[in-house]
Amino acid sequence: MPSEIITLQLGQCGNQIGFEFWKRLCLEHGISPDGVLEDFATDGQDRKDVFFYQADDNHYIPRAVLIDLEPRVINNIMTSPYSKLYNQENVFLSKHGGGAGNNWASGFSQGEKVQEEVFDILDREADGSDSLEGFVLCHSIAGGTGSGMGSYVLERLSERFPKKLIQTYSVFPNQDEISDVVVQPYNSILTLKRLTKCADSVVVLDNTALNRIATERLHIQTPTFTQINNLVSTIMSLSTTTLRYPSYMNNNLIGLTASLIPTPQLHFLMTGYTPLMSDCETKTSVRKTTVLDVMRRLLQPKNMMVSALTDKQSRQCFVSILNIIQGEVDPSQVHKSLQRIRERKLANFIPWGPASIQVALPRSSPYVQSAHKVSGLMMANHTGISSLFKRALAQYDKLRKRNAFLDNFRRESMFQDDLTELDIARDTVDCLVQEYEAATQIDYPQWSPAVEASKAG
Amino acid sequence: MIHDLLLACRSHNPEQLGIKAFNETTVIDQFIHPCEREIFMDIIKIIKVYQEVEQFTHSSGRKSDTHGELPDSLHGYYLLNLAKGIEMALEEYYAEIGRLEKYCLGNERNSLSYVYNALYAKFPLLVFMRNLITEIHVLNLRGCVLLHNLHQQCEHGDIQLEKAIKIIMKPVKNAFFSSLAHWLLFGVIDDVHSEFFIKFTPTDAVDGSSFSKSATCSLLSAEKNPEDYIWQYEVNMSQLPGFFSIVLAEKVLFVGQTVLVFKMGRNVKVKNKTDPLAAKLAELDSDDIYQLWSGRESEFFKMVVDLSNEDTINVFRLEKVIIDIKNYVSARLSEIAVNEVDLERQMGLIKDFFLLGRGEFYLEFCSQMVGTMETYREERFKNVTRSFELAATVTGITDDLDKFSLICQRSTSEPDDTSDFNFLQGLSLKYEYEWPLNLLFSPTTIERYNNIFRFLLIIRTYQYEIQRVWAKQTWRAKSAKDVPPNNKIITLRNYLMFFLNNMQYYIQVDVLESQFGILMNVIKSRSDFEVIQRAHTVFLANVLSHCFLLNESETQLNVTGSQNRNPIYGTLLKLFGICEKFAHMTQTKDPSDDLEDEVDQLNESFGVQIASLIQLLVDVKSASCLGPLSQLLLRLDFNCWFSASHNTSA
Repeated sequence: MPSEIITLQLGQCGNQIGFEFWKRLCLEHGISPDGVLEDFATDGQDRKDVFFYQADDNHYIPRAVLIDLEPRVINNIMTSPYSKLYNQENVFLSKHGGGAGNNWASGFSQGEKVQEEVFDILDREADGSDSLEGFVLCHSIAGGTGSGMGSYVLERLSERFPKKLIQTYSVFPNQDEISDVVVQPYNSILTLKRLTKCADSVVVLDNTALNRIATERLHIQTPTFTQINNLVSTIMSLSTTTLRYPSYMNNNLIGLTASLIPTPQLHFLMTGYTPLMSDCETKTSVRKTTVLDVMRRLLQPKNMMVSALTDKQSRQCFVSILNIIQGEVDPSQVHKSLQRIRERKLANFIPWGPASIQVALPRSSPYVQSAHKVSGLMMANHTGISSLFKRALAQYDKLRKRNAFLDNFRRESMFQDDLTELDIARDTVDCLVQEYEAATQIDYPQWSPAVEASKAG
Repeated sequence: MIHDLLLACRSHNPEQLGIKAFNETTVIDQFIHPCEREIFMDIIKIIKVYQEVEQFTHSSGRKSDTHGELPDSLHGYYLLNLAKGIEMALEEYYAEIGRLEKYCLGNERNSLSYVYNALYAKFPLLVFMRNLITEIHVLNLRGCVLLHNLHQQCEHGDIQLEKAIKIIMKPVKNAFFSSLAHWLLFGVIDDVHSEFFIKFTPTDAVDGSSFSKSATCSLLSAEKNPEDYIWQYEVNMSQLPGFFSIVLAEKVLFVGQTVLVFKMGRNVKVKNKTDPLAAKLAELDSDDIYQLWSGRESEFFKMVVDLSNEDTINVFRLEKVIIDIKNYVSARLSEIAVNEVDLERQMGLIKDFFLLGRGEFYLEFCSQMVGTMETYREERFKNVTRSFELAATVTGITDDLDKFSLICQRSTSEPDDTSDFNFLQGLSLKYEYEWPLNLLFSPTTIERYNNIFRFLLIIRTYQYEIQRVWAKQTWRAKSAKDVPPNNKIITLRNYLMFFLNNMQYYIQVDVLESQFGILMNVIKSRSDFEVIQRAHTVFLANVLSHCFLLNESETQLNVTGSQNRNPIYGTLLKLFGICEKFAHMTQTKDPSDDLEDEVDQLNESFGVQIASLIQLLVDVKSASCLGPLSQLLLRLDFNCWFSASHNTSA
């Protein structure tokens, strides 16, 4: 079974979105909550083996590793109807169950302590697959476990599996509301450094945008976690359809990401999805969707799952775009849509290389009915994403200037002597922002961090 | 004297002794009054014409009866029948001579003018026949074309001659219709002199001599490879009678081939049986033909017989009968193809494997194959088939794949050439189609599929290799120990990846997916088989031309020599060459010192080639409104990068 992918779910957020993701996969592949293939799904031409493997009694088991430092979310999963789906051996809960207290440093050092146990699980999973292609990591960058322990696991993963692709689905904190986690800016910057250095591709899920979409587009006054997570699981499942329902191309994670990420550092992807529809809206009129309609909507910032500045006036531009479009699609429509988009200059592309909108038309699951004729997901590499990092930097600088709330960090060995790790992380993120800025210029291929540093110096 | 004359009128004498005697001796001077001499000479003229005609019927008729080893051009079934027909038409003339003779015997005194008058009435007939014969000789007409010639004379204004030509044509027409009926209903051509408008051309020269002797014998020997021999039947344009349109002839060919396919079904079945008893074979034989006609063959046979019983060839009725039979046959065939063999599924499989629809399978195949690419050449050929099977096992689709097998041909050109490109060019897929789909998958069709297959596989393989380069460089950039890869290399890699991705996308989605959709709609609409067949041909032709492979379909592709090739294809080949070089260069364990220079060179040549490709596409686009080409252009040049960079460098 080729190109397997192991999913890691870290922390409260990571486990929640991971749980939704697996629910969704089970639905699409016709697998019951306890892992048995439904009768109607026996002759499917889908590839379940990328994300699942079969136990001796033919039950489908997700290649998922569930990690948390506090038991609440995982216990919820384990008491749900899906409890039998997971391999119990793949669940790791810290013994004290106290969590990381939203502290990156605590999560990181606890990760260090339990690494042997965690990597026993990972090694076993990796050995169990024929040709492992990579890891998918779900976490949030703001909290303690997902960010801190996630960072530690990321570092170790890239060391231990240097020839495997590491993709993360990283949830960025909501900027519009005041967070109850005061050290969130520190957590974010420290995690961002690992995401820049150790991950191969990061799918950014911005809570700000997710909440905005939920309220503005779906008309939910106070979006719940489930509703937000539903959105996330849609994106995660759709972005992997080309792997699970293979057709001509994009059949493996490398193929999927290679064309999106032309240079190693620019690997933060934003996503967009349309048509968005809430539960209450299904009763009302179903919008007519066409390929052009979907492709045009995908380029609109309001459908983007990242709240970044993408207005036309800015220099920000697309590095690459992959649209995954499902439904009744006539290939000739795709061409016409591309033509229209080019004529109207709806998308701004990089000036330093060839770029276009790639469109994948995967088969879709026959077991999940969609109310829309056409639906689409966009995965885009856009320089505008740097505004997210700039925002994080600004918040970080505000706190750091006052050296506020650093006591909890100093308690951990990593920050006992000095806070250089924080400064290094800040520099890394700053460098990333600069690279994104440079990518809007025509001479980006000649750009290098060293040149930039010497210029500044 | 008159007796002598009348005798000469009927002589079978090839040396024209009778007339010679009149000319050489002085009998005319002695016995004929000078004022009658003119009349006498006129009679002799008539006799001469008769004798010419008679000589033809005599020689053509008799000599071919003896099955002499004469050159085919002089004789044939149709000529023999023509002779028969003329003989029959001459009966009228003979009757007249007989009457004259009786008349002369009965009367004491006979005038030469009376004889002359009686004979002169038959003179137009004789002249007409002589002209016919001369024309046939001069134009060297034979076979079906001869029938056409007669058919053209049919609408003669002279009632006497029209009657005569109908008599003359009848045996020839019968011969034609019996050939037609044989072919339509039983798929048999008993055509020793290749006079029918459908001919069997043996492909291999070794058996050629035996084939030419008898078509039936060729049928027997061709059954050794039952899959292919139906394709050796084709419309013989030189023998196609003018009243028979090409479209109609192809319909006739189609019906006969269908019948042959049904006969073939028997062969396949017999192979499956453990003991092919002769009795059983005969039984099955009738069964299979029966399966096609289901008792209606006598009905159709009668239709053809009715046609041949008509006085003239009624082109419209002929057309109608043939179309009726064809409609019946092809409806029956598509019934079988769609219901029993599940044509939709078969086409799905074709798409999955020939057209690389099963992306995950070919991905696995690529990874298996590229893994073994490094090994010694001889082993590569063995390994690649193994890779193919392995990939099938790994992806768990061995059931679907059991009809396909991969074959490698060693490229004959340069034995020590180990480039991946030539290696991939040597690959082809073998497809065991289900009976009765033989009519869809002729050897040329399969070869065309293989052309597309190789083209796609090349793109796919290079894409896979460039992606490996991407992964390797990404991981190297991640581990701080290594120096980050050169920007130039990354740039070139991005260009190449962009080119390959869009090329693949263009072919797989813009071309294949849309064309395949059209074909599948035709199949799904349950139209008759001939329509499916035509749609299939159109599908292949479109795909080939849109993949720029059209000029190439007959010969093997190779890198060198590019005279009459599609220029776009030539450019594409060069671009593929750059991809291969790049992949090899960046994947070697210890890169050479002048790596950067090489990259620069490749970068430069890529720029030149892509610019010329864009230029070609722009030219073609403005020259004609070919949709698909502008699709490729749009994809490659979406943000006007390549066209812009070309302009600045130029």
